[in-house]
Amino acid sequence: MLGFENLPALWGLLLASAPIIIHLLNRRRFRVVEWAAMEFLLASSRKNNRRVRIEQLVLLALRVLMIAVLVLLVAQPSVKRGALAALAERRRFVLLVFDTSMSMGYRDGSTTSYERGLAFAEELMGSLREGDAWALVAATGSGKAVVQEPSFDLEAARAAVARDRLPLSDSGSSLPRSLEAAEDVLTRAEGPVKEVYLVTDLQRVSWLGAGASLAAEDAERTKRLSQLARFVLVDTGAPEPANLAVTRVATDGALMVAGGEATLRAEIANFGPDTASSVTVHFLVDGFRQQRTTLAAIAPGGTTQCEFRHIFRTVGVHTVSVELEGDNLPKDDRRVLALATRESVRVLLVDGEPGGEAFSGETDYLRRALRPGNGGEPSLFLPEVVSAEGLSGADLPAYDAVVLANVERLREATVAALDAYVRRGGALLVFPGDRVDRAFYKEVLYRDGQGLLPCSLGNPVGDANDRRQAVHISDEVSDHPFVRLFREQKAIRLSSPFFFRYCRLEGVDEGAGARIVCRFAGGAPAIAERGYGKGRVVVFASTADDGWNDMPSWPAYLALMQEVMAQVARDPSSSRNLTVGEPLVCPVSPRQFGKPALVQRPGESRPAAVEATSAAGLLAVVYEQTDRAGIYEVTLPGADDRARPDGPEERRQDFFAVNVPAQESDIRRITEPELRRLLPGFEFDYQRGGVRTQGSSSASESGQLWRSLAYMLLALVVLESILAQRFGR
Amino acid sequence: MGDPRQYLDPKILSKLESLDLKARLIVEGFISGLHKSPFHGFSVEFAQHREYAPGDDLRRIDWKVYARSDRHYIKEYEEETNLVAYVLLDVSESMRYASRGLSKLEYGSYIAASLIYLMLNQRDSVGLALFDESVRRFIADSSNPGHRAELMDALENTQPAGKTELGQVLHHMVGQVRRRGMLIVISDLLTNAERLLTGLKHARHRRHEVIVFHVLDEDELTFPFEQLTLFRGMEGYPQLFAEPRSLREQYLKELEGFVARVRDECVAHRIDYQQMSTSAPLDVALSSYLATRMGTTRT
Repeated sequence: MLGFENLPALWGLLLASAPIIIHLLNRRRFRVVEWAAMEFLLASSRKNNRRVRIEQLVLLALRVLMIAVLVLLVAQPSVKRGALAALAERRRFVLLVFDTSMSMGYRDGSTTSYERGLAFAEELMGSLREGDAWALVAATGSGKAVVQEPSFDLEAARAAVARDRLPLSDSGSSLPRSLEAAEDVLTRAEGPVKEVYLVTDLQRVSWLGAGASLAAEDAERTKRLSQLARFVLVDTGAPEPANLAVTRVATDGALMVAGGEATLRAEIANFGPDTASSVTVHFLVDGFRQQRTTLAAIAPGGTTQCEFRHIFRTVGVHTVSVELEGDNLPKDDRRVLALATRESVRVLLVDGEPGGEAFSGETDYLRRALRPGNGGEPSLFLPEVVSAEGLSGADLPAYDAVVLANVERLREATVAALDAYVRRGGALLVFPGDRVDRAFYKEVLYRDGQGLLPCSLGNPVGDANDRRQAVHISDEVSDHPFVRLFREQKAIRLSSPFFFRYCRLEGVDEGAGARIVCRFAGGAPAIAERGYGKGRVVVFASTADDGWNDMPSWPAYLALMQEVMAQVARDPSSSRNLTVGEPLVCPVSPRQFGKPALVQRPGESRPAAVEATSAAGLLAVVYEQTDRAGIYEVTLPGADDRARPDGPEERRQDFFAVNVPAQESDIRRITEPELRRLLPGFEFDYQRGGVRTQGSSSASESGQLWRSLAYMLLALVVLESILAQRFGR
Repeated sequence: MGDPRQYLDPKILSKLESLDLKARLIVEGFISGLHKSPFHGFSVEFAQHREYAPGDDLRRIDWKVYARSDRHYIKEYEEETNLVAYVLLDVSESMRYASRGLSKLEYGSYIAASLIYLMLNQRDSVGLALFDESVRRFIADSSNPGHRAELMDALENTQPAGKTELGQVLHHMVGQVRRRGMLIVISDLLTNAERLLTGLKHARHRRHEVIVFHVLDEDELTFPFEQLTLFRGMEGYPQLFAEPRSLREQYLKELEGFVARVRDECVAHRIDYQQMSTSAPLDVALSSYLATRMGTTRT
């Protein structure tokens, strides 16, 4: 428990016997006096005796003690494991909230913030005594926060903060969420002394998110926490971190077709106080280095784009990796992208008013626009037509886009399926018509902006039969990508088609992400679109066929439809690119269902076997342990060797790219004074955590002990002097 | 010759040889400090003549009468026939204690000697009792000047020994001295307090004048010992091995308690009590005697 730095000095304790020796020696030398007034002397001796003896003993004891204390001081006592803190004799409840987010892996010198945090946690758990309780909350963004409920098992406490039990994760951190879990644990804690230790690197974004301040609810929570317990903020972060990260990798939006050239863009960010120069970026495709670029300077806090082109020759899922040369936080120096090239875009056209004659159906023109050929020829777009009833039986995931043309209404199950389909990345295009039940569209599909549609279909304007009155789309071409063709050239104009009748598109909330692609000359929206989940929804103001307008006979009709379709069609890649913590969902065919698939996690030596599940009409392998960034390889059961990534056909191999959240790379810190200012009700002690050597790990306690001893010595010296004076008289 | 008063200093006196000489010098030293001669201050009343008897002091012959009558008559004064004084000197072992070379006994004998000198010169009848447990040597009082030699001799040649029992001695003396007289006690009073006080009361009861010279050594009064000391008790007391510094306070308290008691009793019984340290000049003793003496002439 008690150690001594200067052990040999303890020999000095022999000195403590010096006063006794001196005392004994003194007794030998004495005077002899023949004394006449003996009676008085004897009387005084009798009366004095006991008192004198005590006084002598006291002085002797004091002198011995003084020397002993001095010797102890010289021997430099040190305290291990906070044993002397036990003098307080109060049971503690210690809650450790440990930030295991990616940013904690930042290396400063020879240790990372995480390692320093672990060292502190070890010390903390080591300081627990019998009767103390502890709990552990890991502060990561992914759901499961509470690692250990309150427990009295001290062995388990030490084991819980071992590297393998509390690993560094690749995910982001949200401290307000972790503090929520902490509060929950704390309310179930018992004990007179409650302490919460938050080990973190004080990363700004983990406190504030993207905004500049904490939500009021979180501020209130921190206040409550600091009232429930003594809150200690242990800062193990590097004081001036600098980090470069690849924050984005994406294609330029064009359709990824095998054999076609793709442009890939990467964004590099500099989260540091100094300008980053000569940053080398490597591009890898399918594991092979393709290209290397050196970037000019990136300003502190700024970003730079760089791009490279590549021709993906084979059909299938490819992986692209953009890598920087290492820095202090290597995890975010690599970002991966899973890309599926496609052979075709399957489009499901739902004809709400089928007709018997050619081009009398609602979707006939559209079908022709997408697949102009006579059939048999290879085509990028593969439209299929079904009636409204047929939609309910269709296998939506098989299609890259779904078009509702003049569909009156839908069944509840179909709406749910469509909703799930679009969320997972599907595309939905909606055209109005005479049959459309606008109330249904408004209440069920639009649902005040909460539903699939970005707008509702309002009352139609104009008369389809009166071809004399018409409106045109405005010539002012917006910068929306759908209409870029019309921006790039002026010969073919978007304003050419005549629109005799159109629906008002109402409730377009541009603040919520909806966009108006183009407007009629009067200002009313002609096309509106919005992202929904991972997919897109586009709403047209007028019919798909020539019922209300003459767009189908307009030369650019084909181009426009194909462009829109190409841009909104489900990107097979989107479901393959995830953030750490997002579940990996790999659809399987019915034939593959029932047999286990193998999922190879990056960094693992062996793949895990996972059974496919059926949920909400989707047969898929769902893998939840995507806590590590990198390429996940899924090997599916089946006899067919041909890998076809864009359909439910039996593909054998699939890749999924899991990346660290880009926000987590922003390791810029929030300062302690700033934190106190932002959260005025939050009372906390601040301390820097660091890797300590054995001796100094208890430095503060040692210091306490040394001081106590020194004061004791001082007191003894003073006391001895006073008493000696008094007794001596 | 120097300043006669120097002989009031016991240290200087101790260098001289004869006690008689010392006594004379003391008295002369004392007198030189007085305005008037003590001899003249007294009202000595001529009482009567009496016929010269062999042994009387030739100086007391009234030559005027001889001139007239051719007969030798000596003058008798009231005083010389009325005052009897006895010096009671403690010669017990405790009086042996000497811290700076001068023992209590020596100092006491200076007092005794000078008082005897003075008293005899005043024609008082002086006797001497040397005592320890009891009266060791008794010399009956006489006013004969030649008596002085015998007294001095007794004082000079005595050795301190034996225990002290002053109370008994007082009782005895009271029995011995029929006539009302003066008892001058010179002692360290290291004796049984109860019996001492009883003795003193007895003396007063018999209408004797009592002067008590409480002679103590400087050491006994201040207890200056620092070092670890083995105190060997005199007069049969046990020894004590002690750290004197720790005892000092209490010892002085004990001593003071005793002295206060004695003093209070003396005051209560109109006994002149004088505490004297062996280093104190001797005129204190003499003036004290004189004061008492003056107070007694009329009683």
